[in-house]
Amino acid sequence: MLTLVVAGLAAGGAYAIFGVSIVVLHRMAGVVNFSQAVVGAFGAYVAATGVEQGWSLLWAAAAGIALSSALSTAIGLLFARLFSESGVAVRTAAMIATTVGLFAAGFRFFGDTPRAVPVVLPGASVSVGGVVVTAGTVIVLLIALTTVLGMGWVLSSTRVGAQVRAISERPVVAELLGVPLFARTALVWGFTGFVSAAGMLVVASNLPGSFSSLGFLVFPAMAAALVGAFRSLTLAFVGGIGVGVIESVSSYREAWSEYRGAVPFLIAATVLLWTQRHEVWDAAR
Amino acid sequence: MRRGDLVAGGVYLAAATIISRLAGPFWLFLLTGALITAVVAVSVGVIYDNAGLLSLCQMTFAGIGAWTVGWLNLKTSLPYLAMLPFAAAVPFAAGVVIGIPALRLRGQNLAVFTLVFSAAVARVVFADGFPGLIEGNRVRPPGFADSDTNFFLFCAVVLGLIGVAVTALRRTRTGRWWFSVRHSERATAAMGRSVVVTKLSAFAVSAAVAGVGGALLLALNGIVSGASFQPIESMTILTSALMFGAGRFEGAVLAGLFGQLIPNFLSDVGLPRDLAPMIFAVGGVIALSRGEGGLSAALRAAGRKLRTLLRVRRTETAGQSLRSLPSGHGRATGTTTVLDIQGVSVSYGAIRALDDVSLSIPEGAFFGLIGPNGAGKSTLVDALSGFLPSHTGRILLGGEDITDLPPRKRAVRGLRRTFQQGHTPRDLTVGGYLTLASAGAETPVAEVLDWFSLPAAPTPIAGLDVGSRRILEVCGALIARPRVALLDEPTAGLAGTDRELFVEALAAVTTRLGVTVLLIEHDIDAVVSLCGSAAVLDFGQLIATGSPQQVLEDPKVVAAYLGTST
Repeated sequence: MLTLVVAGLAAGGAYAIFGVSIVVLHRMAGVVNFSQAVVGAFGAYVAATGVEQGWSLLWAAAAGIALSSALSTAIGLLFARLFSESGVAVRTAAMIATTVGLFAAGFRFFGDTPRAVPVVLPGASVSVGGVVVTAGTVIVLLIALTTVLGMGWVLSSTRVGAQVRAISERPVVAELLGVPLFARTALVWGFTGFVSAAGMLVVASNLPGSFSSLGFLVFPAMAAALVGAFRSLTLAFVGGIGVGVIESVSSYREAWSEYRGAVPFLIAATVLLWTQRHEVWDAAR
Repeated sequence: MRRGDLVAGGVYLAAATIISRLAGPFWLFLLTGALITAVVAVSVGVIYDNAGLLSLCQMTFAGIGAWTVGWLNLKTSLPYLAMLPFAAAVPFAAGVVIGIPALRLRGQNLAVFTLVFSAAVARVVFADGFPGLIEGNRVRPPGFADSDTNFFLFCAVVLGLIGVAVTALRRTRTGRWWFSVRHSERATAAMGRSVVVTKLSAFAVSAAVAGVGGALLLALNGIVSGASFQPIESMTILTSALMFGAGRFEGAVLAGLFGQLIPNFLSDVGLPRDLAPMIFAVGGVIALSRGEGGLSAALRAAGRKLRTLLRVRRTETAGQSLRSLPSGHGRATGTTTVLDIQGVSVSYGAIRALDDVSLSIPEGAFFGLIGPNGAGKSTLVDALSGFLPSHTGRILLGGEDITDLPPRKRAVRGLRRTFQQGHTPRDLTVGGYLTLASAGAETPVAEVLDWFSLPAAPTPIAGLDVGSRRILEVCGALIARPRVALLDEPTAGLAGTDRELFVEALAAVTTRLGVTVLLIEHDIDAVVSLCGSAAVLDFGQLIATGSPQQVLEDPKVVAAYLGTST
């Protein structure tokens, strides 16, 4: 059982990275980013292709991360240009359309056969109380934790954090107050693209899969973000780890493992039934 | 049925028949697929374009429909046509069950929830294979549709019937409430309609329509796998529905057609088929950035322009007959208190927005509530109508304690309100909105329109100016003949003659409709001319009550408006 819990931490850490990134972007840009994982998958697959072409590991990984950051920035600027004054439903719908386009583009470039994503981390592992913990798991968890703590601090205690929150809530007012809209938007989106690609590189060498299966990591990540109600970074982190661990533990019994794929849904449904038990009204009067 | 609908139906059937005779087997297969995609697109139109809800599990509902038919085909000897109702009923039921945790959600949360639901069903149910897939148990279309040509026609008829049913449903009360909830949940509840029931009905209807689409897909291919019903497929169909505007029937048909034709065209010119979703993505983003409604809305707008150019004007008659309003309604201004506010306090953190406010509004009164900006007037309206999460004190309507009732139930018991920011749904007509708002009260629509100098019943709300929309919203609150109407700054945004005419029309409300009015206003002139008595709020406290003249001369009121001279 404990082995399964530890095994779940690796996947859970990955869900947490994407889940927390989704929450960060939601708070900073007011968009639910359905493409969080697929943008990271672009980076991981560019790195994999680079290594196949004989690039050094470092250069390939750097190229992958740079591409994801650029891609994410481009999406962010497009949204800032077209949808900064739109309602939530329109922005969400536009994000869904964008994600469909990105999946199609990835499918076009990389096909749907799994590729070996280069192992960017040492294959070391430590044994704690008879349970093997790989270096990959530790690093995934570290990235997730650093993101939570770092971004929590940036959002609540820095000038840049306050500026981006202002942009997400009232872009025009923020601009009138002299917040550099273009630069800040590019920064936020570029950063989440960077984190996603870095996370995906570590995850993909751990859990190899096809391009689209990496992109579909967004489902458990969304469940994690929902646990955090798209506001709390800590809860999203806990949610991600929770989904990973429960998924893993569910393979303990044959009868349970059949429902493994439903874990994100069950967690999301439980959380929603609880958090939405009181009537909540839409936009202010 | 409108004449235009009959013409469109005739053209649609004639086109389907001609195509079925002319097209070869390849094109027939392709176009049958297009009709089936159009069925699912109609379901997206209902949930997104009509009710404004983002669902990412429409292909899952289609899969549930297909799964149901596959299972029935394997276990029973029912003919296909007898299985089709189940293909609608089972997804309908699934829609209700899934709707229950999702029904309080909107926007992004609903999209996320339906997405993880879709992923769960795809992995747990569909991944195990569809019934009959392993056994090779193929589903056959009904005998009369067992050729390519006839199956195409069969699908065309099913799509046509769904189109007629959905279009008819949109014109019923249920359908109009969808537009209302899409525009504002608060306004919907304030008109006495359950937001939850409205959303759930749209969700379940769209699930049933999608389920039929899945059953048709199964009959086209004989057997299906889970691959057609993955979450990404639901996202793709939503994207193409956005691009083409599937809220209108022609938009759904276009989404179906281009969903098949674009990949085919791409492979004809030597490009990869899977570029198609990228084209939809770009089209969807462009459509959203230009306002909602997609290509079909653009086509309708172009059609309207063309008609104006050709000077083809339809004469429209108001649907309602002119009946005279009974005056007085037997409720004279008396000593009976209809709305009793007892010690209501509201705090936002350390700020006390309302401090122990008590007021008794007598039946039949036109009661004014004034006060400077930030005095707490709108907070009081929110507390009275049930939109505040918590407040202390009690509120009695006609002697009944309504303090703990949700907004909808207060509206049903006869407490209506309007909003400072107009909340009339632009997708409805003036008459449609008033009929919806009247909640069965038999106040003649045409007479109310005439009384308040509003345009005729068939005029779309989208074509009204902001001032007329405000007046229309007030009429919506009054036409139901509630016991009390809370009018929150009804004259804001009106100027000159419009304002004078409106104030004059309002003056007759208490006598002609027998409605007690609590009027919140900045316009002191309007309060003086309309109200028999008035109260003044300042910093959340009631500082004066009496006749408008009395309260305006009260030194405390003068100080509140002009600032204390120290």
